[in-house]
Amino acid sequence: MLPEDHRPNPRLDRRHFCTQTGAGFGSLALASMLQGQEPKLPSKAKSVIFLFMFGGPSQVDLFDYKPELQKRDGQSIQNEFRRGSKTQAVLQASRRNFAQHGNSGLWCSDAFPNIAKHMDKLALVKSLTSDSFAHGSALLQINCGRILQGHPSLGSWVNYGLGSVNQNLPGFVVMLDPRGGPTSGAPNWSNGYMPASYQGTLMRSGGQPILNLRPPANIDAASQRAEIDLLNELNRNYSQDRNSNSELQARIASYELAFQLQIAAPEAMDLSQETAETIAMYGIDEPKPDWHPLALGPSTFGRQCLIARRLVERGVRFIQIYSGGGNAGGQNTWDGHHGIEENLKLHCPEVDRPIAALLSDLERSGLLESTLVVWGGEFGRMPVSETFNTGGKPGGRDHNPKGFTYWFAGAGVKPGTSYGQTDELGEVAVENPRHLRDLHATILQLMGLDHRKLTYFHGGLDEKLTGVIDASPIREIMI
Amino acid sequence: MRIPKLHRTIALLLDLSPWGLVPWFFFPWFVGSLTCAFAQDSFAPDSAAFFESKIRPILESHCLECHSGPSPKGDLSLADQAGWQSAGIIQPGDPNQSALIDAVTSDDPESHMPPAPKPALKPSEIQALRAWIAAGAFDPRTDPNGLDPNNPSPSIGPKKRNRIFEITDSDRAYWAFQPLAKPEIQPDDFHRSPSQKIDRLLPSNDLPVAPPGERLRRLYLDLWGLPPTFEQVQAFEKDPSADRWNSIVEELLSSHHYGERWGRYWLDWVRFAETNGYERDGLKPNAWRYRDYVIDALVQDKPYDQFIIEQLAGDQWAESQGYSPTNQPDAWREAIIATGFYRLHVWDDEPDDTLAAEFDDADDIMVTIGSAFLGLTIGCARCHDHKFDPVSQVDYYALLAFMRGIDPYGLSKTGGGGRGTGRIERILASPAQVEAWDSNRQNQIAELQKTLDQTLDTNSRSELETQIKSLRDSLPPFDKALAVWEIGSEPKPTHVLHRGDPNSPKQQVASRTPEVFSPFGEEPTSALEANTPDRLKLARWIAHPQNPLTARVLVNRIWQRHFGIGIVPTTDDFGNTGLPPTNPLLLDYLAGEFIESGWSIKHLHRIILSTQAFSKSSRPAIDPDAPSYYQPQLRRLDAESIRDSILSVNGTLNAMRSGPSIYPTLSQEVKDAANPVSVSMWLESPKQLQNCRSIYLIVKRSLKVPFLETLDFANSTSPTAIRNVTTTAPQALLLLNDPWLHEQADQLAQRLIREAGSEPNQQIERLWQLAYQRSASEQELHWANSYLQNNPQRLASLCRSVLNSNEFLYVD
Repeated sequence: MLPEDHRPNPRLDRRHFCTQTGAGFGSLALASMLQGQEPKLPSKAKSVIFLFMFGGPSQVDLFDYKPELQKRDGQSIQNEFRRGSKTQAVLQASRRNFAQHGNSGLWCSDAFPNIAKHMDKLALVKSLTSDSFAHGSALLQINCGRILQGHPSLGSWVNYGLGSVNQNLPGFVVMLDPRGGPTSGAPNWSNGYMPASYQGTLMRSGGQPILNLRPPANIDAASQRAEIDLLNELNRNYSQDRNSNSELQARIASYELAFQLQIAAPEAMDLSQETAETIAMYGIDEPKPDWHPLALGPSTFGRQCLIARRLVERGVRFIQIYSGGGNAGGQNTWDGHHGIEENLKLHCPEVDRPIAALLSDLERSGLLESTLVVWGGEFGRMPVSETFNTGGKPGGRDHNPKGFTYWFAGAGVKPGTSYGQTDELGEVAVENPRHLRDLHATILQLMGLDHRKLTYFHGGLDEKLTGVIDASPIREIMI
Repeated sequence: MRIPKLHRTIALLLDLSPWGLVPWFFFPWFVGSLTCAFAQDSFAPDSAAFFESKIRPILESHCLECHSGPSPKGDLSLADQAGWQSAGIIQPGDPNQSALIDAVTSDDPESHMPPAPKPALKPSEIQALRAWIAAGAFDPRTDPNGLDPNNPSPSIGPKKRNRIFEITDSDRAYWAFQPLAKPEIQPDDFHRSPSQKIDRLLPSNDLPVAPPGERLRRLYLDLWGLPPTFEQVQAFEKDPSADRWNSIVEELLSSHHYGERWGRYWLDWVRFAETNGYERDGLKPNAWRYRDYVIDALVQDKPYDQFIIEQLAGDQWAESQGYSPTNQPDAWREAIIATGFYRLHVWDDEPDDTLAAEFDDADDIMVTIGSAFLGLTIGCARCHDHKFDPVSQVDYYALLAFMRGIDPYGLSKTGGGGRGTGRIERILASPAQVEAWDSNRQNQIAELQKTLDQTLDTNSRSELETQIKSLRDSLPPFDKALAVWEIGSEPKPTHVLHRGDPNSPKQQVASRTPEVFSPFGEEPTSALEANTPDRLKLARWIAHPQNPLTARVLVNRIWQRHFGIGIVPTTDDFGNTGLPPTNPLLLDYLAGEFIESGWSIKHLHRIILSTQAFSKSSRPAIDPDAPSYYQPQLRRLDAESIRDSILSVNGTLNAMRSGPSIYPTLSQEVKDAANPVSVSMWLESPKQLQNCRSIYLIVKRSLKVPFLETLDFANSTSPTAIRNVTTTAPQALLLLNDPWLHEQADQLAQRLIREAGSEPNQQIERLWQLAYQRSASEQELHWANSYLQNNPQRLASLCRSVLNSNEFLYVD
């Protein structure tokens, strides 16, 4: 959609070159070029909060209620556990109890007692599919549109398409689980072949919020200010006979922004401005549980959700929060090979109250009308019991990219909706199956961006987030 | 077309407009919807691609029949820019004042164009014309050396022209496929050096020559990525003669620092990295040898054609020469290491579809060969005929067929066919050498065993047993290289894959080069002896002096690095989606000179660096709106040059020149945010090794060295022709607060004290000499002094300000 040839081109004037040299986090010049120009499609969503359940949450234990599976617990079936590889496997009913909630009557299990109260706000898509059974490539696909490494991520595309609102804060923020970064690491929030200003910025909820935000301990703010003042003097001197160069001016500005960021970032993360009631609602004051060495309780994710709301208030475009971190395959992520019950017991309470609180909080402040909340993981899980990772004991569930659930809430989303179905056992999307690229098209559409028109020229191609295979937004879940 | 009448019509239309003199299509919403309407193909309306895909077809199908040729109707030619310019029917930037638009939209059958009964333009075509004019009416058909304006353009690929892919003469006539043109010989060319010939081919300008100090700094940072010393600048200022300049150029080119700087460019172009990416991001064993190979090749000035042949077919070339570990072992070894080129791609060890993954990997190699060697976007033809260039899908698979003998990368974790046997390394020794080592080892074992059999004493026995075990476990003491293997004597068959899907093979194809290239020299794929291996054929075709792309692409890249802008600005795309050369004669002259010099890259450096053009000042800009390809540009140093310059200025740069890559210390915050698998593989190097030049730092795809990544390091997954240069707040934070930078600034402060003592004025003067290679001015002394306030604690802080300053980070 951007009428912008970003390649080096002597015919283009310096204005075009500046698109690569915005002084802030996003591209300043691009944003200013778009100023006063609303996104091409009517849209309500100005920001996205993407709640990412790394490891792959189990749809049949959370939202995708399958009475047939519950009936056939223990029966043997043929199960395709990797593409083209079948094995004899045993159906494993969910140990969770399901109920319908609210006016919409949407199903949610007792693993999410708090989210269950918000079902009337959600639009569930229960028939998503993707291409990979492996974490690394599946994560890349949900984050960057391809199973191949090297492409820009969703957050980069959104910022590329819409520009930044708040120049003092990054437009694309990623918050990780304290147990570690996800599989494949930084390529999940990479700018790919776009300029580095579109890269996701990691924000920590404790310590230094942004890498190198603060100088080492022996330097206080006043000395740093003095250092920057001297630097400005040197730079102005250097610019004297080079004053036509906007890049030099941008660099001078970038130091001022960096200095302001030392105030803006901690301010955005300073929860002391929140009421005790809000802190409690998000579960931030809950102590760390001691029943399991990996258990965190709601405190961490709650803090991140509340920070996300504060970032949305400050105009950050795209925020992704990871639940689950470190090596896939263990109970430190949603990768429940080793026992789904234990996995749910660990991770559901970590996110349940925080997410419910986030939805309430966004609603009461009116922000839900302009904020899109997305929940899901890199794939779902199998309805059969996985035993080879549990030493023969039943109870685990393996990866399943053939049918899994995502939900949306907020701006432009049709509340209380369920779309698509998996088969009677909850394994394969059969009714209205939709590929992940449709999910990407949907998110872009809700942000006012047309996935077919949002392109970036690279390697001889007009690259798109959704790739060459046709995609379409899931209109059934939109207002 | 009668122009005067049209002008009257315009006036009439304006008068009658109910909105008075404000034309309705000026309202922003209209512009917005225009942009939207053309976003489908998303070429900017001022781009060459937009002209080629939208405008040229309109002109060709509706207008040129009458408005072209020696006597165009109404004296209006639309066959080139000059034609419509002299007729004045287009006002660039203003479609409403353009008679052309009135003509095609007129209600008056008298003035409507095209005249009945010819069909009128479709609304979408009129919109395209408006958008094109509004954006400035860029028309590439201006180059007198370009194509015959009367001959319909080739520069829209066969795919767009016609549903059936057919290459025509006009495709073959595309500029980049033409043999190199020789510049016309001027009467006094005989006396001109190549550098003077280059200057003659450039537009004349009256730019001032840059002062000697500035020129020397430019030269050092250009060739080495390191600044000169103050003393070197002083010496040159005393004798800034051409002879002195040339001898400095020579000196710089002969140093390993030259290879460390320019080798990194090559690594960008072939998306070099030392790990596979994805979940485990496994290490590519001995990938660093390829990096050293590239550095050495540049330092030795290995002929570029040989450089190509070694990377694409070093194993087969060495065999054809009879080279082996025992005959010409050094040449053999280099050639084998060079084939690591094929092993640099990302590789998923757990793909969902192993067959698809094999072709993804092969495509990665194809894209890189196209981009790095040929400046062609070959990858576009994987699933369908190339949309803009005359490269068909059959061409793609026929090219791929040259490489189907390669044993694919590594074993997959999940199996399922379509993958390799795991042989990604080669021992850099002959089978006989390995055998000799092994039989020697076996003999030793046998003897020890004999002794063991005769020994009763328990202690002696256990000692002997340990010795035997360690011999049994010992690995051959030979170097290994990441390199290519053939699967056997016969390559796998290659099929055209329907929409690129390996499960939908169509006809089988044999290896051949793309059809659009006319045969050159001895027909490279058939006239070579039948037993020339496939990859060697491909390599020889690419490295052939008559290949119209290879030399042009390389000289253009070299020019781009020296001046900041390529003669062809899109250095990795010489096709229709790229931009045409701004100076085709210069490009061809350089390419010809390059080939005649024996493909010597250093020769190119020498002749370019000795031009008048390179000595000119970067300011004032020749064109204030756009950088000129023949004026040195003010440029920010790249990530490596910034890091290396800091180490050089504080005197702690170490002397590492080769060997396994260095893992710098990562901050705890970076480790916490990375995946634990990546962190566990990060084997931090001893501190004293870490101050190496940046090219020796590990390139790990899931965890790039943060300092370099923040400063726009190469993407390392797909080829990076020219790095983006961004200016961001995180860069400022990095350079202000990163512990590594603080450490370096402390080192610099200590150096100042060592060399200038404790007197602030002398410390400041020395700092200016080291960082800026000049003396501090009165004003600067004053600033710095009042900053220091006689507080020695502030010296390091002053050093940080200087290392952060634009004068340090930029070069003119």
